[in-house]
Amino acid sequence: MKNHELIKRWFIDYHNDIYNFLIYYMGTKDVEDIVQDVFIKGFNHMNHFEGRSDPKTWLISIARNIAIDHTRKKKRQQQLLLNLVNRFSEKEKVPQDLVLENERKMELYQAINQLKPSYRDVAILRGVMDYTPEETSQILNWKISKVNLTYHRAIQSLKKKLEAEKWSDYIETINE
Amino acid sequence: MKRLTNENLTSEMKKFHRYRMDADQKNAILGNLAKLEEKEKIKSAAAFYKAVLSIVVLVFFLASASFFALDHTKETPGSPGTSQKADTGIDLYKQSDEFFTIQVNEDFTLKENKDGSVRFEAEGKTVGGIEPLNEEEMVKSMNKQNLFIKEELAGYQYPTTFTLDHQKTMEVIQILHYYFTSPESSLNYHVYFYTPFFTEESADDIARSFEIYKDGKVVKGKEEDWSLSKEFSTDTFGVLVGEKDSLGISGPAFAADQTDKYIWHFFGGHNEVETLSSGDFKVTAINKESGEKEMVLVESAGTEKEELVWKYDFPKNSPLTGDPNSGSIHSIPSNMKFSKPGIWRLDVFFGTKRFGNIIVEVK
Repeated sequence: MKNHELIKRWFIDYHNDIYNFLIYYMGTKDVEDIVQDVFIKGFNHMNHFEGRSDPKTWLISIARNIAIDHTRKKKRQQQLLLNLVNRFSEKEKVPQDLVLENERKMELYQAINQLKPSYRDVAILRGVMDYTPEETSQILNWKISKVNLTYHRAIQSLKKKLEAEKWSDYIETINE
Repeated sequence: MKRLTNENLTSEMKKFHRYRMDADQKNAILGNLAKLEEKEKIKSAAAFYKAVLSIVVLVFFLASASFFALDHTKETPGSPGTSQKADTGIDLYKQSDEFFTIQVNEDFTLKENKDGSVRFEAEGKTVGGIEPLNEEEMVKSMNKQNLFIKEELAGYQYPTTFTLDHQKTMEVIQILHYYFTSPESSLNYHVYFYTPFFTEESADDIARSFEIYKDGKVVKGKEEDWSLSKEFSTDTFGVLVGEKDSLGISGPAFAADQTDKYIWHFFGGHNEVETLSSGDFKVTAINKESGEKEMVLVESAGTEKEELVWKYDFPKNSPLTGDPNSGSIHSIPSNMKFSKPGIWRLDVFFGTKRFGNIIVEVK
C-alpha cells in the first residue's frame, strides 16, 4: 500500500483514539487541527515507522509530542499574559476548558492533571484511555515494568489527593 | 471517612466519556490527507531531478575548473608584454573632451582629487564622490561591494545602474552607487553617496542633477523615460496602476486641482518589508513640463485643516497591512491633489528609503 493510502486507512481506524487522547491530554475539545497534524506528521515520517510497533501506539506517541509542544507554547503565552495583567489566579497545570459530565469526574480529572508529568502520562494512558501496559510502554518508550510501577505510584498519589478532598465519600454513595 | 481502594479509582478512570469526531470534521481531515498524495508524487519526481541536477552541477564545476586552469597557464608566461593594461577610466576621461557637473547643496562641498576624480566632503570627511571608470573598472567596482540591491533605474537621462552596498562601519552604513553610462564615449561615471549623511532621497535628488558635457555642450541622453505606468490586475483590488509585483495605486482617474482618495498597494518580499517598515510615507511628485517637485499628499482632507504635505507620519516598524489574497504586503490609503494637468512622476519613500515610482497622467 502506498504511504498516502496507508495514512488514510490509519486515520479511519484510529482517529477517535487520537481524538480522545488529545482531548484528555490537552484538556480541551478544540483539538481537530492537532488530530490532522498528527496524521500529516505521521505521513511525513512514515520511514521511521518501519512496522516495528502498532500504528496506533506510534500515532499516539506522535500526538503526545505535538501536544507537549503546544502546551509549552500556550504556557509561555499565558505566562506573558499573566505577567501583563496580574498574578492573581491560582496555578493550574493544564488549562481547563474541558467540561466533564459531573463534578466527581471533574475532580478526578483535575487531580490527574495535578500529578507530576510522568504520573499524569501513565494515568491518562493506562487509566483514562484504558491502554494495556504493552501499548503504554510503546507510546512512552518505557519498559513494561516501569509502566506498571509508575502507574501504581500514580494511583497512590491520586488516592492521597482525593482522600484529602473527601472524594471517596462521593464514590461510596454512588457505588452503594 | 471511607477508604478509597485502587480498584475504585482505576475503574472510575476507565469510565471517562468517549468522544467521537463528527462526520464533517472527519471528512475535512480526510480531504486534506488526500492532498498529501499529490505531494508524494512531486516529491518522487523531485528526488529524480535532484540526482540529475547534482550530476549537471558537478560536470559544470569540473569544466569551469579546467577552463580556469587553462586560462591561467595561458596567461602567466607572457603577461607583461601581451596584456597591456587598457587605459584607466581616469586616463580616458583626461583624453576625452568630456566633463561633468552635479548640483551641490549647502550640506557638502566638491573637492577635486589629484587624478581628476571628485569627492564630496562635509566637515572634513568624505561623504561620497564621482569617478570616471572604464567598463572593466565598473564591473570591478560592483564586484567588491556587499551588494544588497542592483537595478537599472528608469527616469534618468543617461542609462543608469544603481547599487546599494552595505558597509556597516563606524561612519558609513551603506553606500549608494549610481553608474551613469556616457552616450558619447565608453566612460561610465560612478557617483556614490555615503549614508547616513545622505539619504536615499537626497542622493537620488543630487544624482538626477548629474550632467555630462562634451565640447562645452551638455550631452542630452536618451529622453528621460516618462512612459506612463501600466495598469495591472490583482485578484482582489481589480485594476491598479503601477508596476506589477512592486507597487500599484487604486482609485479614480487622476484629475487636476481636486482631492481624491487613492490606495497605494505594495508588493514584494523580505527586502521590501524592511523598506516599508522604515518610517514615514513620503511621496514627491515631479511634473514633466516644469521639472518641479511638488507635494501631492493631502492631510485632513475634507476639513478646514486640509493641507498638502510631503509625508504621512508613520513610526518605524508600524504594523503592515497586507492582503494575502492579492499578495500585497502593505497598503496605505491616501488623499492626493495635483496642482495642474500633465504627466507626473510620483517617487515613493519610506523613511529615508526609496520604494519606487509611478508615472501617471493627470487630466
